[in-house]
Amino acid sequence: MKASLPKHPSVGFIAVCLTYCLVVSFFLWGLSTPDLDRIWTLHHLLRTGELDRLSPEDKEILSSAIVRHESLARVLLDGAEIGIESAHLDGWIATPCVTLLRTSQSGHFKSISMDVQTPQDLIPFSIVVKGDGWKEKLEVKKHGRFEIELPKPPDAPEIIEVILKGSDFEADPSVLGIKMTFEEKR
Amino acid sequence: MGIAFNRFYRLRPLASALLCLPGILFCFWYAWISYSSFDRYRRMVDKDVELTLEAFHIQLFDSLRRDLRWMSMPSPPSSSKIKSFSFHVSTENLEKLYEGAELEAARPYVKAGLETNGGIQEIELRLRGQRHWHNIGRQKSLKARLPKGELVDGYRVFNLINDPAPIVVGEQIILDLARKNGVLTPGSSFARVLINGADLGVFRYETQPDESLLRSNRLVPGSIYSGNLPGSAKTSELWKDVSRWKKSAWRIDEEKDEFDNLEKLLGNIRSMSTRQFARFARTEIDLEAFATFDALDVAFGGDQHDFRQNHKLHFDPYRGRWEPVAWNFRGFKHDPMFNLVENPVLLRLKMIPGYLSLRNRILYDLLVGDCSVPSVRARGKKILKKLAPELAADRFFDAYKLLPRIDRFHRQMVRPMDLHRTALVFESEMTTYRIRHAFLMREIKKNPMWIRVNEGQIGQGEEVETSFDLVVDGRTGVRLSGFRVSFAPECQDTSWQVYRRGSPVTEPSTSDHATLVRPMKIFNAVRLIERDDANSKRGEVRTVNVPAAHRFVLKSTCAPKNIETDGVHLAMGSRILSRPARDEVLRRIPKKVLDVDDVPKFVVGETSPVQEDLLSPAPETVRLGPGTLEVPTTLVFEEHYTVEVAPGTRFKMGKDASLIFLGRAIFKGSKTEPIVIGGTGGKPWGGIALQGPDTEGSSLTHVIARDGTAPRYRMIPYPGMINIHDTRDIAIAHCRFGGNTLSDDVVHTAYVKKLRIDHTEIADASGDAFDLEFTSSSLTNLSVKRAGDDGLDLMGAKTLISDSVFVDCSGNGISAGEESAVRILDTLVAGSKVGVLAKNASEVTLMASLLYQNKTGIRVYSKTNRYTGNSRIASDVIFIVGSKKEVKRDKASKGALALGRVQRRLPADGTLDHLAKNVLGLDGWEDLDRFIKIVMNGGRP
Repeated sequence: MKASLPKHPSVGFIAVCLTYCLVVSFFLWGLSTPDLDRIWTLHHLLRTGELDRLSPEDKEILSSAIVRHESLARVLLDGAEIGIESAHLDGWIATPCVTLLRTSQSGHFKSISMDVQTPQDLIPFSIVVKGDGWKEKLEVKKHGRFEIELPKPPDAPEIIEVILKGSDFEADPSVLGIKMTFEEKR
Repeated sequence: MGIAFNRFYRLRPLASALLCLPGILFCFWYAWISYSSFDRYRRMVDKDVELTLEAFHIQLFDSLRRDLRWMSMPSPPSSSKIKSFSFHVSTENLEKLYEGAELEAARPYVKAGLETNGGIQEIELRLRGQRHWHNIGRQKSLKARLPKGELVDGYRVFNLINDPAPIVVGEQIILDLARKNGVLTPGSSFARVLINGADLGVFRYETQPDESLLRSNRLVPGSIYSGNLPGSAKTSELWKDVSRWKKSAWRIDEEKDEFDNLEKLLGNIRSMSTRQFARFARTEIDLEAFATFDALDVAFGGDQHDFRQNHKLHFDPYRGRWEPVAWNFRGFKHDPMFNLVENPVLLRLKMIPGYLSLRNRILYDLLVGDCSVPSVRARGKKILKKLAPELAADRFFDAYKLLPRIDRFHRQMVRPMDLHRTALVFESEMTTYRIRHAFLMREIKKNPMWIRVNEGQIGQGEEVETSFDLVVDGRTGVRLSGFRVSFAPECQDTSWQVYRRGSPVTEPSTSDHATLVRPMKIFNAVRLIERDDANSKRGEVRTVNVPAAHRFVLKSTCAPKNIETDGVHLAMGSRILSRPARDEVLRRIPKKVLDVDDVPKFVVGETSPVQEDLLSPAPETVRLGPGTLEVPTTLVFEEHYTVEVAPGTRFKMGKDASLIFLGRAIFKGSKTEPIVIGGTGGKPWGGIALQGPDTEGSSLTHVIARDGTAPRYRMIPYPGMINIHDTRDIAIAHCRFGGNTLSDDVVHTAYVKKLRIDHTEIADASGDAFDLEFTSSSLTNLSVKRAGDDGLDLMGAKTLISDSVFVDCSGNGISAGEESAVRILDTLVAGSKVGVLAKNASEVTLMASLLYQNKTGIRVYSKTNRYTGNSRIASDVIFIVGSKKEVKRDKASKGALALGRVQRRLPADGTLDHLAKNVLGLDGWEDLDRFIKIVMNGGRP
């Protein structure tokens, strides 16, 4: 005769299941990459050009970490208030998507200036600049200097993405041909 | 299965507690490891840091990742490309060793054994390094010391360091470049360390800068000083008090505790004027070595050689010069300035007009060559490729700076590493290097030359004077080539000439261009400003370049329309033209600068003198004689003087007076009118020295010098009556020297390339007749008679001796030591203690030569294991006649002789005829005894 299962599991059973769930969760949590470790990796991947665009998850990790750690944004910017995190050589961008960072103290920088010297066969294209709750778009039809105004910085450091759209851009500063600088208020 | 699950479903509390235990214990185990790891680090770095969930997560993640890596790690490669050190340490000694971690100083050495090819070598170990990464984990940095007289790979003391730098190969790249570019650099590489069979992974292997470093670089033992201040000391103490320095090498044991030369250097840094210090730097500092060292720090953004630490200086006694020893080259940083840190030696050098041009020339050469981005990348990748299999099998592979620099605590946390991170960090550091490289190149390449024509001309009619300033504003100076002047069309055939400080610098010209009559270099100036990030390590001040105006006057028969200058960019070597000076440049010209005879105080606002090249004064010629010249005290001829001594000149030297030549010296004696150098009133005079690279090409012909002692000049220990040091292409012919007293040698040479001595006689030497150290030479028709020690003593020398005679030497006729390579042809060695000696890995080849009536004919032995390899003497036919013992060799030197046939009688007629007749002037060998007797009797039958 088969013994049938009782209606409810015993306390011991529940305790074992719960315990091992917690154990597994503990180790899964332990093996998950800590935020600061991931940010360290992202920082190096961005500045070497191995990564050109942050995934939504990485963007979330970075956003929450720069709020949690006051000095983190300035550390990533080498002490500056605004700067390019992605690979660049003296402002000449090296990836079609550029990650910028700015602190809450960067209010005296009024705009991003772009000196476009992109090869003619890649023009026209558009540049989209996205921040925390705002977005600007710029249509580029010829060489020249263009400015995108920055809104007032929020109370916490902000990630800004500058994305080139419309052509098949390579991650090569000589192909992209755009020098990015930050204009201060006079 | 159903029943089992049923039972499980009904599990009782006690049973469930037992089942839960392993899981709970496992969690607690890792939680405890993580906590204790954090706590151990916190206690060493910052006790006040609190444990947060984030910090705990990092520690747990690291522990788990490390353990998972251990489980899947490959074994170390079977054929390793790096060194391996396997130590055996008793349990008791191991405990004692690790207890040393608690001590700040005087850590005890413990006895251990090192596995070598020959067995177990006795050795001592102690912990080293004060920072936490040296001893927080299993990989602890060690210092190893062998007993005196024992060496491993040529070194007695070496370090095995747990280097936490995440780039892994950064410092190795820079040290390899330093070594390649002529900076004295201790050996360094990577090594696997085992203690009692336990693999402790990969360490950085570094030899100690001591005597071994000098000998392995073929340098005579000299002084090496180390400057590192403990935290409690004031910064200024390092530069005022020699007791803050340690001495790790010395010339002789008696000098172990002497710091005189360092005292003099520090005193000169503090108290000399710019002019004096420039002269001191020209003659007593190896400027190329210092400039190269400085250039490497600039290229890589090094910041370790600051006001307080990481200074190692070598004083070579025979070169009489200071040079830096490459040590602690952390780099791959970038701030938009050249020197990230300064120190007093560097500040003093930078205040000399001309130094920065030299430094930046070397820097430019590096940046386009060995330090170009592709070269550095290739170099780093090569080392990493070699290391990768070793690092993959290193359980304890770790590094710091693996978290963002939100604070020092996170920045210096040592965490597990892997090859993926290593590659990522390498690429990131190369990105930094690429940015720095571009910045430095951009700055160096700027054209520094501007021109300002001053308003208002003097004179009218026949002659007009127009003053103009050449303003140098940049990273380097300019070597002026010429001037280009244009005039209005109505001014036909205008004559013009350019002057500086009242002297013409061009010939008169009627064309539009004139070149300079002699080379002229002009430089920018350097000002001291306050550092933004001042602290005791970095100091309070740093240097910035400022423009310097150099005034010229154009005299012409018509007012000029335009003046231009062309010159050579001193860093790049390319031609540049002046441009009209911009207001922004002119505004920055300092109103007040130091005078060249002022002593800098290193305070904010001090600006270096505006001066032509203090490092290369204009050459001049001095003619001495003929006739008698009384020299009561030592005469020193600076390096820009060429001294020509006429035939028949007679030097009457005062007591202890010497002739010191720092530039070229040409003694042009002749057979009928030799040059004679002797004392006055029977008192011994000093000696002669040809000292330094500017003596290149000097010659002594038909010179007779007797009864001297040795020169005394600066802190150079001259062993000989005649000394030739640190130079090349020197010729001595038809000279006669001897009768020296109070000196070890008659002729002493050190660091000389291409020395030629021909038809020269030395008689009655108090010690060695010739003592050649690290010299390449050709010696022909030498005659050495009656030497108090060796006739010819060679150390690290490459020598050809032919047609020569060595008779009555109390020591060895010819002694070849310390890796010398010697060929002896058509030569007689007679009446000496040993005919020919080879020791310490030297090679001697004897041809057509006779060893006659020496106590021992040939001797071979190994005196020190510093020189690995046997000595060898080879000959096809060797005549060893009348010796008590023909051949003597030690046990280690078996197989050291390849003598072909040994002849024990004098050569038959027709054999060695050239030696008998042409060299010795004998009718036959039967006259040999009489010849030798006459020599031994001082020339009397």
